[in-house]
Amino acid sequence: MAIAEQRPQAPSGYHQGQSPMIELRRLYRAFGPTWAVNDVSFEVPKGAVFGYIGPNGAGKTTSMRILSTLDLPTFGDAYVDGFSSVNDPDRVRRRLGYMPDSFGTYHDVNCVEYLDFFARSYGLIGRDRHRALRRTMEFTGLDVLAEKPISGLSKGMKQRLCLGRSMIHDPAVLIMDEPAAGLDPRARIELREMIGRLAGDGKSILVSSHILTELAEMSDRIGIIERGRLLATGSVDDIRRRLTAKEKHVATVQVRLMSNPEACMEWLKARPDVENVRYSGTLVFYSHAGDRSDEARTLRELVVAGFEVAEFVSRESSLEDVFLKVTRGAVQ
Amino acid sequence: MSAADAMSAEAVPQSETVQLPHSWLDRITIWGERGSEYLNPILVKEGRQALKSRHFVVTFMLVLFCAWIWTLLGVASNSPGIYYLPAGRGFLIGYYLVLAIPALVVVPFMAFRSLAGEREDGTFELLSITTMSSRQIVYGKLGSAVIQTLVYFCAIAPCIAFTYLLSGIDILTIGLTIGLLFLASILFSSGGLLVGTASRSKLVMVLLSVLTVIALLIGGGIVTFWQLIMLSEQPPYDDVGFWAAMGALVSFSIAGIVLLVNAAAASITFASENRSTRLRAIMLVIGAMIIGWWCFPAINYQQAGVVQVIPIFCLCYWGLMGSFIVGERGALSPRVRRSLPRSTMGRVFLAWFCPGSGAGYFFVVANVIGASIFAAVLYGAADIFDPDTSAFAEETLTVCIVTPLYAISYLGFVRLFAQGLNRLLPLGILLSFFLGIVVLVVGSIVPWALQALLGPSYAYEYSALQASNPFWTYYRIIDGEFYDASILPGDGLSGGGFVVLLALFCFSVLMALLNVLTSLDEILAEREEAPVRVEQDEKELHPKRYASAATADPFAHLERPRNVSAGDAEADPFSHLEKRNGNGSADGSGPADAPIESRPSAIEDPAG
Repeated sequence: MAIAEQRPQAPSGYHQGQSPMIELRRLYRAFGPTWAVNDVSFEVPKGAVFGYIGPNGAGKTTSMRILSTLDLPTFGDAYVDGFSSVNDPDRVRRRLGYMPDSFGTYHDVNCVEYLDFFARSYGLIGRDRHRALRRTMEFTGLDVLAEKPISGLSKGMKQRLCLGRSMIHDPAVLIMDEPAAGLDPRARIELREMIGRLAGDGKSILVSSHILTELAEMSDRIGIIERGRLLATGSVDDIRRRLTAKEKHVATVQVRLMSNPEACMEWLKARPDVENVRYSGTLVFYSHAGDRSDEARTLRELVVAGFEVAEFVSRESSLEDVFLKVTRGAVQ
Repeated sequence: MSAADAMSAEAVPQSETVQLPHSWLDRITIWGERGSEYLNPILVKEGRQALKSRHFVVTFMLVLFCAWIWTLLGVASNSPGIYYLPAGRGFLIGYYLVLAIPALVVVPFMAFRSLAGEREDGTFELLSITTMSSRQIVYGKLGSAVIQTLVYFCAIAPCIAFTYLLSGIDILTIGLTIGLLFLASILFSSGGLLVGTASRSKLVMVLLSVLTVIALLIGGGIVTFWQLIMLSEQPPYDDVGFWAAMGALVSFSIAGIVLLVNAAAASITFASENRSTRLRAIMLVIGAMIIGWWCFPAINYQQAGVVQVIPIFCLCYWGLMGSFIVGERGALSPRVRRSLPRSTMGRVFLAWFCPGSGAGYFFVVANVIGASIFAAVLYGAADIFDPDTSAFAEETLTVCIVTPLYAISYLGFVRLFAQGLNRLLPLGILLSFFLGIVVLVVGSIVPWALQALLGPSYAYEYSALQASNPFWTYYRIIDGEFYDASILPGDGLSGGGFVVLLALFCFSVLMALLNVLTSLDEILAEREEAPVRVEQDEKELHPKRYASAATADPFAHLERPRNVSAGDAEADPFSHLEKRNGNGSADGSGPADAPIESRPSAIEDPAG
């Protein structure tokens, strides 16, 4: 048997969507003495949204650029659908749509000409190109602004256009660097919905953002990066669970009373499992160390003690809390 | 029909769109739209932009306005003689000047700006991650520049036809003038594109903008001056030498355009890809053209003495190219290793085209040696037909010996120096280019300064100390006094030429050995098979190319395929210790489903 025939075949999963669509494998990138990306590894399966979180200068954009074949790693490799961004950039580009944090638009070009140019650049011709244009403009809601010059678009519309550009060739993987930056609340919600629909269509999405609440809502998994190092990966719940496994679980509880919040505050202060008790109006806040059953018991005892409880809310740590706990605010 | 119209037409059911439009203009538009499918996307985009661009409209109107003014002034100043005296030549000179400014300055500068602007506006990265190749990007930009030039030419075309009607100039001269101007415009635009890819730094780009304008004004001025001289009197059309010179000019211009465009494409190609092979093939063709065109006077006019010039010209050309080539990185990316020749013969003959400073060094040296051998053989052949030429035998032979020695010594030294410096200052080919200039200047001036220090009277006496000064050495060889030179200044001992030859030989042997030793990694680099995932994808995408890729090495059929049987594998007790390639992962370094920690990195160090 010839040597070429002896080589093992690729895992069958590659063509069945079982292998990760995005994979960063021991990725390093140095700029002079600074390690912008320092041993970062993670995977994003098909149809998943991966939120990439980190302070400015953490290495998010650098690793996204390496994945998008815009930069080379110092060590390691990044893969899209099993193809190396370093060694097979041409194959990666066919499967990838990249939306950078800057718009990158041309002068004297309108929306449809802009998208048409990129459709041609991705090798779409004839009916395929027209179909791609129609699909993209409908999806992004730009069909009513087709002939409008890009220079006259609002920031939200430009962002839609850039999303349209990155998905014009129907890529399996989308990489979005700060897509919601500078958008108004409505535009952000619409963008979030669009990302959700794209993920629903089976696209794997790597998205970075500073707006953590939105990322928490749209991401299946997140990765927290600081000073080039990936500090935590997994779903928000997973990371929260991992964090609380190390320390005692503390929930912030908010109790709305019909009356007499001062008495309630004193009552709570007397309990050993309660800390940081304060009140504002009819609302009483406290930190509670314990699990859900402990919280239920406290609520029952509050009612038995004669306090008129109108609302009882227990809030676990949010993505923002997780982020603050994981990162140290260090910059490089 | 705009893209939006086309899109909306697509939305209509097919049965309704089949009907043919009534207007012939509509039909032309649709045919144009269909034709544009096969055009370069950048050409289409920039064509659309140009139609809306204020800059283009203003320049176009200015050209027309200047042509009209020149016509009116010319007619007024030549009246009434214009009716019966030939005035076409004078008018053509004016129209040429009007056309030369946009063709030689404006369009090339816009070509430079179009690539530089993409970087500034942040669109270059978006463009580079599309499926367009870097060559397509550069070809598109050049195509756009060519179309702009053609539009200016079309605007002036009626005026040029008018000069022919005025008589005094023949159609051949008009065609030659306009054709050469067009060629010069494309050549300058290609240069502008190459400069446009030079840097990402805004500061450097501003500096380059100024330098580009100055270079275009100087270059444009030289071309215009030369063409005006050609226009001022009737060219010798019946002289074969004139047409040979024109042929050489046109062929070198075209070769220059191809080289510049491919160099621009190479400089924007992704770093792990092969950026050298195509350029080296083009350089080889240009090197062959230099030899070919110099053969013409040697053969046609039977001037064997001209043969001496061939190695010197080749040394200048390959010295320039080599100063860039030896600055390439030494490490080969896995992607490049995939394209290395399979067979031993293929590696012997084709590995010199592979990227890497070591392979490049030997490629350049081999070309210089080849040119020198060719010149010696040509001289020998010319000597047979014309015995009078034997007077140059010694000089020609010496030039043919000295030239490869200089190439091996200088480029070898620059390569070693540049490879060492690149670790501290990773400037790549620019570093080696400037280093080459510095080494050449130092090698020429220092021995001369040394002699001048020994005594003012020795400053102009050629001695063996000048071995590192190629300029003076060549001058003495061609002058026929090389072997009479003194060994040391003022010692009165002749035979300095032999000492120079010996010194050059020893130094070049040393350089060649050191370069062989430092290039061993490149020379012994083995081909890596593409990962199975890549092969599968290639087979699906390009079945024909995939089939032909297997026979890309023309020497592969000469070698017996190395079949490894199960028994052979068992016979090698150390085979299990070797890393296996292509076992399913994307980089061929480990199974894709293996834990991350167990997989080695795909590249050793792409940043060098």
